Amino acid sequence: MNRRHIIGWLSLLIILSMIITGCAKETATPQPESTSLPEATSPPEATSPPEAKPTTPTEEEVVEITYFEHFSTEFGDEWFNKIIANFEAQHPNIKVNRISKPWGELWPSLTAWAQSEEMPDVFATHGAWLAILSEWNALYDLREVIEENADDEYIENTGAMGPYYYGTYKGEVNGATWGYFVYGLFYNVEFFEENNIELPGTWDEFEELLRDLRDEKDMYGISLVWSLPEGYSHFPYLQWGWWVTGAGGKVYDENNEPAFNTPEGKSGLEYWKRLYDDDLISPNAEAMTVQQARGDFCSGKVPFIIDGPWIKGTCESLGGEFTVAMMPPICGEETCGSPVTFQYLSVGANSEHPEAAFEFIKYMQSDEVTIDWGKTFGMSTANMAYYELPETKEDPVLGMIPEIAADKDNMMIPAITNKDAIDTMILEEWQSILLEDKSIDDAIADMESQWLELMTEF
Amino acid sequence: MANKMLILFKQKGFLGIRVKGRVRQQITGYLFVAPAVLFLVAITFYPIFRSIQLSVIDYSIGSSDQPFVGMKYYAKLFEDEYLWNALKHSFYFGFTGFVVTVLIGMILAVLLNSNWTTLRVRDFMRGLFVLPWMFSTTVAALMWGLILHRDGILNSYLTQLGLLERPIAFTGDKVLALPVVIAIFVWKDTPFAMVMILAALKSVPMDLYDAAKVDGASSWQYFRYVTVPLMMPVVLTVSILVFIWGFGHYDLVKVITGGGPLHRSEVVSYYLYKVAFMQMDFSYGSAISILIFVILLLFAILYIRAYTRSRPWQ
Repeated sequence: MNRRHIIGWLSLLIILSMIITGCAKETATPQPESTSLPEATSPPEATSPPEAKPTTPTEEEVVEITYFEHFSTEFGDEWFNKIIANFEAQHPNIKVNRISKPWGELWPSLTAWAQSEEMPDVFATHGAWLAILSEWNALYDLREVIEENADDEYIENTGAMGPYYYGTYKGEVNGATWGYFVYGLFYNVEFFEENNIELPGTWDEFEELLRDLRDEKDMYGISLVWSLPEGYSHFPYLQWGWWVTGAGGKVYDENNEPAFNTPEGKSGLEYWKRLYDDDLISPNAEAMTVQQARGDFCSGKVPFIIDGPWIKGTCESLGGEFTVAMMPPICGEETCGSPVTFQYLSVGANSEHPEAAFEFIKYMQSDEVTIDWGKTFGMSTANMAYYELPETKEDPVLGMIPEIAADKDNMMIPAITNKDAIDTMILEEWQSILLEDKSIDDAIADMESQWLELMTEF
Repeated sequence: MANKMLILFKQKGFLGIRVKGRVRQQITGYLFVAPAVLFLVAITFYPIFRSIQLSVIDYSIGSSDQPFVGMKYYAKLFEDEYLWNALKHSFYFGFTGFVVTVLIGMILAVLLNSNWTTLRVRDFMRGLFVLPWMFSTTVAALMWGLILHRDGILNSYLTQLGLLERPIAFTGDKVLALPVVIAIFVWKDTPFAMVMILAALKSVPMDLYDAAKVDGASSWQYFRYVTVPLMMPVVLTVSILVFIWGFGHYDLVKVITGGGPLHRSEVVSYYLYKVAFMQMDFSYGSAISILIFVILLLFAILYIRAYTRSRPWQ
């Protein structure tokens, strides 16, 4: 058989495959039944749930659940081994098998498991992932187990930060809040004290301060990340969206559709473009990485950074020699809302023991565990009890969180399917404005149409 | 064990069927290569067939409704301007990458093969030139990202020398982003070209040199009419390989530029990643992957033909 024959057979095989395999249908995936429970989205004032019914396995049967997390790859196994041992001592008929992978492998792993319908029993999710995993029918609707297991103490201890108890998507309750991430302006305390500079309270004052730093000290006030691939999660919500929220506008509406084609949306873009054009931020923001921006701040090169509470620990690990504090919320003309998001604990749709999984989630959300978590690693939790501690109140970063969390004008980073693609598109349009390939009006119009297209394509 | 089975097979046959000598020998050979072939089928052919299947259905994780849509996503290929933009960049990447890589590789190989300095110095230089090849692509990308940063050593030297007024964002500039990525690719892959061509140079028989000298050929004539024709098969092999690597390159773009700014460094493999794993459009992503497969298959066929024609004495 010569080379021509081989190519011919291969081509025929490919064509036959397209015809035959394209007719194959996937087997139907059983849809979880939804119960007619009220939406679990309101704060503690909601009506008390019915009395808890016993749902945990009997003493005779020991069930095993899998818990998938990523924090131990950064913080070590010891803390997780300790809390799991404590849980198993309190629940002798539930055994927890922990799976640990680095953050970067979290989403690819969840995607692969969703495809093979082998989701872990308990795992960490973020807002946008709730939407996608829910569309893929990979999450267990927690309404039933919450109704049967939640009591006053549980409600009081969880989700009291801001308007959300649980992650919800299209009426399903599919994530219990665990971590609470507040983004804000962090600053170098000693720099401002030594130079006797007052902290800005509004975006206008912030711009004025950046100008003063350039004119009087020949230094930049902040480094911003507007490069791909990292900046896509920063610009839409931590900078532009934050400014728009302060001006009384929105980036997206209650249907997760674009709501930024407004005077506030346009003014927000004009504000950040002005900082760029007037050389008020570190040069080449369109090539800046997160690592470089954090390096600029932690080395003292710039006195501000927009980031989350973990920046304090990051600067300590980079050898920063100053105190990192979180500024009070910066205000626009209408509101002082900040960008916030939750980290959730969810249950896999195919879990054979959802009640046991939820027992573990309740344990993880308890005062005992969240206070220990916060004290050990300085992470911000969704449990208010942690912020009542005297040492937490005095912390220059964590002490600010209750005040910020109580603001009903906070902008929740949205749970949209295709969020990564949408955010990347927004950043690309933003770059086209910066590099003057497009006007702001054209870019906003293109952002709006592409956002809707990407949502529909999912 | 295999020998015992073979002896048994020779005596008893298989299900009463006795096979003749030559075929029995062939079966033994097939049995030995079967595991490797099965592995290749699993990691090569199955993904191709699965991609073809995904490209002709509307696939969504967790959905039972995945209708056959025929050529819908292949038709979309022709309407997608971002895809054509990425393809253009990939061809540019592949072509520029292989021309520069092979040229520099050839120059270095000739330098290392000639007697302009001592053998010890040439061996040291060969070791030095091979160093970039030892870095993983991601490490190289991170390292160059730091060098090319506005506060990196390149900008620092250029501004101190007065060649730049202010630092340049090499990876954030819409004109420079792709050439910078290609330059890093060339830096990383030139040692491969150099090593292959150097091996080819060293395999040229000295008898030919003596014969050419007797016939009065100059060094240039010797290089042009003896060395180059004998090197051509290796140069062709290296060229097509480097073109394929450049065309399908992903790592450097992912780490350094993310395809930006403004899609100016977006190559087709990175675009495929965006479509399949950011937009979660696995069906359209599969169609793009089949397109890439067909393009590279065509180049592989071209290579085989060119290789055969370059060796008329075989």
